[in-house]
Amino acid sequence: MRASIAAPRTDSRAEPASPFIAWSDDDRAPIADLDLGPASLIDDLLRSPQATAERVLDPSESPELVLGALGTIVAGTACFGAIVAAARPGGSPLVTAAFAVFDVLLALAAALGPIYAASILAAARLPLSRLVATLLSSAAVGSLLLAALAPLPYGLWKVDDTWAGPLALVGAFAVSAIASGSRMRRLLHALAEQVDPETKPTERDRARVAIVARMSMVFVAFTTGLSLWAFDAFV
Amino acid sequence: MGATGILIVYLVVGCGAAIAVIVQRRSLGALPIPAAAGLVLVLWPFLLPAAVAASPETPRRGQRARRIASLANALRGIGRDFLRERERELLEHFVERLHASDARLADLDAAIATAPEAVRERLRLLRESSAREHERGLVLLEELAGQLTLLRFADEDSGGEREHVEALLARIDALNTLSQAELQDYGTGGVAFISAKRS
Repeated sequence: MRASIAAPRTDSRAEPASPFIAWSDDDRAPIADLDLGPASLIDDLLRSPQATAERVLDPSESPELVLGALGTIVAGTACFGAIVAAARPGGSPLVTAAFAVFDVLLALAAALGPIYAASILAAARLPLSRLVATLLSSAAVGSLLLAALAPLPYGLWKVDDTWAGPLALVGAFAVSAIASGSRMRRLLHALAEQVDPETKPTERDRARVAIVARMSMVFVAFTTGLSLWAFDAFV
Repeated sequence: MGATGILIVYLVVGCGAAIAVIVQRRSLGALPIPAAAGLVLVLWPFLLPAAVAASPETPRRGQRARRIASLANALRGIGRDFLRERERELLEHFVERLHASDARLADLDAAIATAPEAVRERLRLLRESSAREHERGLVLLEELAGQLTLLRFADEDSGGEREHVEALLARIDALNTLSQAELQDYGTGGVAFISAKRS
């Protein structure tokens, strides 16, 4: 009588023993670690706020981060604008893409001042270069999400251009804005934790960071979420 | 001011920023300077802070000294009504200590430039740790200035802000005492070293 019917496994990454597979040391060898090299900026933006915060804190990486995030915002938003414009009769993809990018950049520039002022008022000043890098990284996440959501307003606009299409457009911007805002909040917390690895922030520091992070989340979400109305980009 | 006026102001500021990028030879990552200047002209609200922060130079001594002096002046102004005589003396002593650590950083920079390769790495580590210490002191002063500003506008009976100011002053006092003890240790050690050499 068998004590257990579960296949014995010695390593989580090893091929499980099976009556249908001949025993072989080669097959049972654990899969080697893949050497993927350093993570790309898009990987870090999407997967790890901690890694993005490290890039923000490294002055030698900051310009690349800012340029990369700007490029991502331009590409993601333009892609979204062009796809949505293609669904509308008489829509011009190029003009809509250009206006959509302009709108989002304008919205981010509008959020910069209030966030900086809020950080000063809460006695947790964020240097402008770090603030810009953080803001653009957060908005880049939202723009990538916007590009990924583009097929939804495209399809719905084709089905119903009175309600479903425009609502999907507004919904896509709302989802993107919420993602940008919450990423901004997480990045600010990660920055405060990593700025000096030897001394962790005190409870009072954390409380001040939390105030700035929440206010930044609201400013970023509000301005980018409403940016679709500016200059009639999607009309 | 209409939209055209705003656009003109935006472009004028952009031109100024682009000229500053070219004159000060500040680039953005691997971009050549003309390309960086062109991008700064169009997107200066986002790129100008990055271009300024990307300077490969470490802050010059004059800049650091100016930062300490401006913080000390701000604290003298705000603290006049809220700090006692002893607390003001404590702050003056701390500011002197920051000036001394600034001079030490400048000495270390000069030493690193001329030191042989064998000790350069060690000197760099020392410089990093001194710079970190110096920055912490400045952050402490900035925090104190912020808390004193809060205290200025807070209600008479709100004890929280006053307590925080006192906690910050206690940290400054502890750092002052520590540096005094380090100096005394250094002095005793130096005398012992010299007597040992003489004997």
